[in-house]
Amino acid sequence: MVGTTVPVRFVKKDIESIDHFIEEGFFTTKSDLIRTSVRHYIRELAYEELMKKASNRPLTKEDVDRVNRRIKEIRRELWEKGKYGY
Amino acid sequence: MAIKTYLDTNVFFIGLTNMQTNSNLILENIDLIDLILCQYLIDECLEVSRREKGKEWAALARDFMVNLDYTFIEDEKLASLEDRYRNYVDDEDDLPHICAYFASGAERFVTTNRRLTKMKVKEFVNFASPKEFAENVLGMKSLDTQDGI
Repeated sequence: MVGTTVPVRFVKKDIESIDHFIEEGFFTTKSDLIRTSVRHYIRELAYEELMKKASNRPLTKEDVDRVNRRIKEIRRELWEKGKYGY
Repeated sequence: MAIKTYLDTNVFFIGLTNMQTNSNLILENIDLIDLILCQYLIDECLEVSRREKGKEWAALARDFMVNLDYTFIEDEKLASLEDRYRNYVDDEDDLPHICAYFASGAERFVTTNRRLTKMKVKEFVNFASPKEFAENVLGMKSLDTQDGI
């Protein structure tokens, strides 16, 4: 796997927990467990931040039409530009 | 067993911007589905996010999306299916999403784009609104929202 190596120091009890979950078959290696845990934690943090900014007001027909129209406009524009090389 | 599902850009964007939506309900329970992503979808979501909500918000949306558990479909696979499905969509810009659905062997295509769900391709694609998906696939109590959004 191509990637950057980051040295991280763990205390003994954390290593014991990590080994336990590997022995139980949840993960194949320590790296697998750590990568998965970091990804899930970042995702949770990002989601929490997004939800702090999210609206709690039910959307009206005008809101729904506007957002769908806007997304469609951007989709069409990106397609026409061939921006992403697809 | 989790169902293979393609969530359209509108589901991600609406779900992340409004909590009173079925799209948000799906994102809250995203671990219950076998999610399909392709680079085209990720890029489109981020472009919509950046333009509508700004760079900081888009960065959070990116952190959320790319750290999900998903099956990734390569662009080459989409391109190889393009000709086969071109005549079944009225808008060519919808084609990469339809191709990603087929390339992944997905079982549902969740979208708020009602125009897309009425195109000829509906004969082959199992479209669902966020409300239909939340109710019928996730087995949840859905929200009564405009167009099931």
